[in-house]
Amino acid sequence: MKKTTIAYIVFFAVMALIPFVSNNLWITIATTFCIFSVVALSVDIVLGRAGMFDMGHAVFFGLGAYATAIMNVHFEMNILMAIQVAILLPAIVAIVISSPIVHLRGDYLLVATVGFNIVFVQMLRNNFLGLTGGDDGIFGVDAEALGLYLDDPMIVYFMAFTLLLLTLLVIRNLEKSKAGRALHYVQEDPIASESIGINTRFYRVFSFSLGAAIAGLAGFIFTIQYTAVSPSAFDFMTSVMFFAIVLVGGKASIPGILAGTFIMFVLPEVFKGFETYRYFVFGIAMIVSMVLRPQGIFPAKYGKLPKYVTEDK
Amino acid sequence: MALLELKNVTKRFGGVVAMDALSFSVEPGQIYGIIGPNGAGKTTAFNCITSIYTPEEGEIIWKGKNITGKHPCDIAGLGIVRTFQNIRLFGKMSVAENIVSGRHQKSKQKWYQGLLNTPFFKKDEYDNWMKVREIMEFLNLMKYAKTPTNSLPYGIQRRVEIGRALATEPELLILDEPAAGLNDNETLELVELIFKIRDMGITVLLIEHDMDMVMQLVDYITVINFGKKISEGTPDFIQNDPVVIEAYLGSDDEEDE
Repeated sequence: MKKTTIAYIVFFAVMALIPFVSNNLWITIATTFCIFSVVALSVDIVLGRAGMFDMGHAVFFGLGAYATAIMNVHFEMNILMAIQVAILLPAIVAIVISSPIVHLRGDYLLVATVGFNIVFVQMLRNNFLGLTGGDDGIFGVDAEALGLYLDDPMIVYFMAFTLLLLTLLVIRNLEKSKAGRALHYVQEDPIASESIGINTRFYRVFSFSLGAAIAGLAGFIFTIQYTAVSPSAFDFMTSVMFFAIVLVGGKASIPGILAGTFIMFVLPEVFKGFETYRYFVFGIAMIVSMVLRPQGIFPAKYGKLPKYVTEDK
Repeated sequence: MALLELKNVTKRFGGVVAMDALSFSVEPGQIYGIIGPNGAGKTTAFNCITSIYTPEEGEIIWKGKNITGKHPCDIAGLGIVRTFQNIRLFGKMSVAENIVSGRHQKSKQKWYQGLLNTPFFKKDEYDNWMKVREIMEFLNLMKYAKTPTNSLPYGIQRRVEIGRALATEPELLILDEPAAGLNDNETLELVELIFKIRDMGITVLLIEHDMDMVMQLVDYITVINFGKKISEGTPDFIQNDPVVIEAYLGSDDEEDE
């Protein structure tokens, strides 16, 4: 067996055992790790694969979370009814807001996405349409469904873990497919891509939309975990954290993103005693990793071909 | 009917007229050459044909249909594909991954089939990669299949770029100075390769500075200077045309790149 396969099996085994061997605090951290990994993987589709500087991804994460809370609290719907909305709403919003900006160059796109993030948080804080609850957000999400209390730490953990597994599966499939390769081509050379018939605009919007759908679903589970949502969880700093996770971990690299989430989220949790120094650790980690490994901790590997391409007939 | 026809195509950049009412037509099965001094507007002509630029006046006709102003990514779908003067490959990726990019239009899988790993998707991928393998064998690139293209010598990068273009199964292959930066041996190989490509039934349109190569390779030539056509004809005719000799061939400072 290959080393990476063994590493994945060990990782999944450890993740599956965590809730049985640790206390509630660690289960909560592990749950958030799963959710944040999923969001980071979704940011990576846009930033790492399609190569667009998206520093407003918390918008889509927040849309999924708020959609869940609003449907449950204001419209008194069963929590599970929110799944489709938490996936589709961010995906559609992503298509609408990314279409006009995808042809902006690197840093200009970054500024535009930051702008979207600020507008989004201001809308939440101003109690948009009387639904978002202002500065305090929305409390009292009723997470009872199918006779279970989904906000039980153990159940939330396994939901988040399942979501992580599903996301990894989708991304692995994406990597091997025409659409996933097209994102890389568009990132490396848009003019050459167009010349061989790749519609760069479509694939850029596609990457935003797919990333938003996955982030929205992560937001759904995030709402169940805390049975509440508040604007501060989806502000600009959250987007920066996901952006940093991708850069520190390694663009377009699954092990990189998982390692990045661990360093940028779990390690600061361990040092929670030094609350004020949290961003200090965050900053040092970024500087050290960028100096030592500018391509990320685990850079993406290319040249993985199906066996039948190169083997002798 | 001509395969590709340009009718009075004019392209201006501000006050500069890069292409001035240029007309020519390429017949199926030809190897067609465009020559002219540096800055004559040859690459501009190619950029207009592949819709990277939209000409201000005139029409570009492909098999009787006007394709002026189409989106660049739709041009490849029509069967027109090009290579670039300064090689534009996806440098971090391997040779095989570069060539499979050319399969984009021909492959019929939808994005969601890839995400769900459906049987149709698997079959489609298999067909794509087998086509890539066929092309790599044709171009003698098998041993570089997994090598990143930016670590390969220039001559091989050229072949990879031609391979990527062939993967789209084009009817017209447009080569922008394919021999630039190649040594004599590599140029000879390239000439043979272009003949083989023509024998596959693909029409070739090329810009070239290497006069020896052009004269032995092409069936028909258009000569451009200052964006205007100054002459056209067979290689023999062009070599003896006083207008061309004055403008280009006869000058002592013929470019050597």
